[in-house]
Amino acid sequence: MKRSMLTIIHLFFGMLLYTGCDVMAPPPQSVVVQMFVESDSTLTPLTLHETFQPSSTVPVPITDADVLVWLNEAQISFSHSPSNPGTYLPRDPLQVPSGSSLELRIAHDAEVITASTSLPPRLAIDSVLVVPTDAPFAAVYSTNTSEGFVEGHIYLLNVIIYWTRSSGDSWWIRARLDPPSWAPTEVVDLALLTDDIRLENELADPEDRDVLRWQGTYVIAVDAPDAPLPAHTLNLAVLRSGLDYARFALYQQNPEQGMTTGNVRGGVGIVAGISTVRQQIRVEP
Amino acid sequence: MIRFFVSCLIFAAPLVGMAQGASDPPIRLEADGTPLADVLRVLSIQTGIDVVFAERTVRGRSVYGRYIGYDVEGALRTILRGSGLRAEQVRPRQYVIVQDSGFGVVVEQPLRGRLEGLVLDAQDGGALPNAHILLVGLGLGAVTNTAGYFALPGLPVGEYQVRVSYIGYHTVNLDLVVLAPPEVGRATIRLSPRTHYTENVVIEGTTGRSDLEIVPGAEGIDIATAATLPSVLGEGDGMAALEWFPGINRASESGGELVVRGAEAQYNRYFLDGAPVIHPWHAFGLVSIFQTEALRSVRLHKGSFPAEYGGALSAILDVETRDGDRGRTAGTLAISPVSARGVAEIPIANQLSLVLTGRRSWMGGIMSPRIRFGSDGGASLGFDPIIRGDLQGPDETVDFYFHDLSAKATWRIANGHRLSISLYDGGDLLEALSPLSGSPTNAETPTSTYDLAFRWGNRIASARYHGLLGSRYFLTGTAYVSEYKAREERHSSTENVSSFDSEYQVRFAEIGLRADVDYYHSLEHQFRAGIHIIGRDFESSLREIRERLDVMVTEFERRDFVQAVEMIGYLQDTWQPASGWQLQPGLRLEYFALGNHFSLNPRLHMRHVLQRDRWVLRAGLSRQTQPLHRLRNGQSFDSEIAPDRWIPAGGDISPASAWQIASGIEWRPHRWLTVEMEVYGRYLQNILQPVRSPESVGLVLEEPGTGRAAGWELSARFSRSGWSGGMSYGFARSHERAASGGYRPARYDAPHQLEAYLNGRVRQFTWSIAGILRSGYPYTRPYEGYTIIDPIAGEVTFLHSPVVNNERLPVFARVDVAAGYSVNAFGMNMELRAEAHNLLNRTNIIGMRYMWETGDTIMQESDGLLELPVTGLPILPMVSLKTSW
Repeated sequence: MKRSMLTIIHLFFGMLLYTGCDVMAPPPQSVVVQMFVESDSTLTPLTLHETFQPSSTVPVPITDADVLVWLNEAQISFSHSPSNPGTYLPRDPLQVPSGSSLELRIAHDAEVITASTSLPPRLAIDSVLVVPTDAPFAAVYSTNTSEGFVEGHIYLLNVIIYWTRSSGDSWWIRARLDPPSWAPTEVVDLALLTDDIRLENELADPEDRDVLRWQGTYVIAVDAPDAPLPAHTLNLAVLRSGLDYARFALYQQNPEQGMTTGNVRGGVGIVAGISTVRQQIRVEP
Repeated sequence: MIRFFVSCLIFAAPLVGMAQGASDPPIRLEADGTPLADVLRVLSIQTGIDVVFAERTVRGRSVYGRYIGYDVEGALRTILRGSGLRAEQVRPRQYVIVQDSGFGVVVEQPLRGRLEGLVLDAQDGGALPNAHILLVGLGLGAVTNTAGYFALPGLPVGEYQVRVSYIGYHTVNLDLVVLAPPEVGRATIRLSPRTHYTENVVIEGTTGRSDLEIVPGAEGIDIATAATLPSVLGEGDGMAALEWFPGINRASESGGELVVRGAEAQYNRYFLDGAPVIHPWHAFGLVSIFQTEALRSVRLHKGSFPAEYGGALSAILDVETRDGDRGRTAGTLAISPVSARGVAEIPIANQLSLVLTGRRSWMGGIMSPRIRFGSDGGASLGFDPIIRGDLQGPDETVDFYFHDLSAKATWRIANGHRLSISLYDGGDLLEALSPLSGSPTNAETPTSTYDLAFRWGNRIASARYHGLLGSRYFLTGTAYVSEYKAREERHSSTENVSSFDSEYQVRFAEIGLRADVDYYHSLEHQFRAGIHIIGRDFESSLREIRERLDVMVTEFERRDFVQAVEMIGYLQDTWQPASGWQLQPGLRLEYFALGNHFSLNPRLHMRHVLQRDRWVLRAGLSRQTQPLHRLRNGQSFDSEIAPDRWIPAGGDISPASAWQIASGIEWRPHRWLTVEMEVYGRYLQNILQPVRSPESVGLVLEEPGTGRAAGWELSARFSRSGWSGGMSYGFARSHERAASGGYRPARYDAPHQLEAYLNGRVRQFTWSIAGILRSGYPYTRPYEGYTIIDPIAGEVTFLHSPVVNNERLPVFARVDVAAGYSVNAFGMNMELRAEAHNLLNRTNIIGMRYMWETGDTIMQESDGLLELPVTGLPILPMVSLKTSW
């Protein structure tokens, strides 16, 4: 009996030791890695800086890291660019073909940071269709330049972007519309769609699986119910990348605290192979 | 890892302490007309053997003579010579004194018989599962199965003092006779509930688990007591009241699923009459689907399970409903401002009874302005109450209700044979209809609507057969179908401009067939074996239609469907090698066809009675696997109403597994007081962490992670003179580690937890108070920020926290009270009950949110960050009226 009680007492103090430590000291600042590599283009620079304290919001560039990149197992040396602190450039300009794999190894302050990515097939837009409503309708909207919501009239414009399937791999598509800065950004009762991330396979045209399409919506405000649609410029961009970038981009739309969504091990940030197409479209009445 | 195993060794240490060496001293007996009982006691003291006898057997007998030597049996023969009695050895160092059938002639092969019987509720005749039958002198016994049946074979013919106990019922002491074969004495033992509904009742009885409970951490819940404890909606919810037990928390402030010893709720498994219940909660975890008045027994395993249980890593809650009164029609009706419920027990024929239950709530008006629907709390639809009115528009109508319907028919075919069929249908509905024409400036905008409908619920059908096969086998066969469905429907439209319709649904169904056989081999060994075949369907679908200008349509449809089969076999021996000792080794083999995963799970439990009715030591070690992983649903991030998805192990996903070790000591200084201390450790493997996914439906999985937990619980309970109460202090840690990081506090890690409850009855008044004071749950505080220049979105600034769950919320405290007044009139009992939840109106902080920019007056600045504390519920009063007859 006494032995059992002694054991229990020892156990109690053992548990005290185990459960006593609850403080988690904040770790030192992390290294932020950013590198977007465009398929079938020259190898892009890499940027490194430290995470910043919320009170400062000024990133401190890292200038003394050792950066090594393997492109399809061929090693490429990067060196720091003194003119752009925190930027590392490949010693020699190099073309990066789509389908390549790229690995990154950064040594900094005894820490090793790694990341890897693949380069997607090159994306090419076949056509873009912009269809406005026949007439404007009354709405309550806000713009970047106005404070709060205002009453007015808007044209709704649907944008359909078509492109062709290039490979059977599961890539992700981010499509983004950038209407003029004076265009409404938010409309009461109406959901706009100017930035979207989708699995590419899910965007296949039901009638022709090789044709892919994405549809977005934006609006243009006018002064009167009978005013014609003003001519304006629409910038659009479509990006193809892998799951790592898609997760990162979705996080931008719905940030959830405390979750690191990049693909950088030992640091934060994103290293992604991408293929981007940008177009500027002049929309006439 | 090393620390974990060191902890395991520490936990196992009490077992080592039980090894007690002993050597027999020489026996010296001298008697000159000394009462036989006294001589036998002296012999027992000198030799350390157990000599068991009924007082009436030895009464009036005296001993004359002397014995000096080392032979115990020789001493017994000397003592009993000429008495007409003999000593029968039932196991090493244990003898029972019985009548000598040969009038002094020693029988070569002693007659052994069997004691068997049923333990039933004295009021309605329903079977009492897990009742304890203790042969007081021998320190041996049996536990009833789900049919209330027990058997003790291999007992020497004779009379035995038997103690029968069951949580919430009066303990009965009686003498039972073991007859000479082929006669079998089958006892029907009826226990009376220690009900609170009768006036002037004196509540007094055992508060512990009885000496026969083997498994550490196993709790039989006193339903009548639990029903009197405060619960948020005044439902007298016995399952929700589990939060007042040591080591148990709720996932959210006042509701949410059960968090057992710091493990997420997804690692629990619930059973209703042998069928699994996938999501046993209503109203975002505020109340359980089980109506307390219809329950017969609630049994909770907090860590280490017997071999018959599996499919969960943390806890098993096994609920049995009542069979129905066989003699009279009985019922209960209750009503409160938010719900009405009823239970009816109807005897159809002499051997056939029916129990019907129903419940409906109307909570839309009360809840909608105050809640934000979140997946917080591990519940599939968790409850995270924040006064925000997210869904509340100017002309909005919000409706929310839940309902239950259940029926159970029990047919007692013959003595020892029983068939019961149970049906359950229940669910929740939340509807928000929002005409949004009230724009900020009341402009002549198009007529618009934004409608939401969320439905979720369970359907269960089960049939169970209990039958005695021959003299040594008892079969329990169960067939069931259990289904959980959750559906989100959204519709928004702007007249003549656009519309959006979506329907998202998840469905998880389980169909199972199981057979469990009890084999009563001998007094020492009772085997239980079983097979269980399960088929599971997992389905999710999403359908979206966007229309703009009536001509441009975007359709999206996706459906995922997976089937998985699991086969289980187990064998377990309940072995009583000596008085006061019990071992329960078991082995459970599980096979998951999807991915061909085999899992061999050993189980070992033991108990040792250090001092009868005073000190009991228990220990257990078990491995458990869980083939299902529950994931928060990625589709529902926007609305934060998340019908979680279950996915099966298969392919690259292994079943999650856990090793559990526990050891506890129970002390009963008085019959009405029990003090317990228990330590435990848990090591989890292959637990999956959900990661935000951009997929249209569902989540991608991170690499499997690990988890560990260890804790220490000290509790005291009493039950005396109409009052009962308990107090517990838990001291525990729970950590998890994703594949790519170090250990961090788990989501429900609460190092310190103090809980207490007290309830009692004074004349016609019942009083109940319960409180909790615990560490706040961990949360993630972002310490840093960083900026990325996205190729097409430009500069984006992120909050960043290198470590998840790096901070802890403030201490959480809550006090709930309930008071009732009951009166008997017109043959009925009526009880008016008033409750107050969060009596002190304490503002608990239950979450924290961060933003970069200001814009909300209730945000406060801390270290450059804008912190938004999320507060819990204020004081919530509730009244209810219950009538039973």
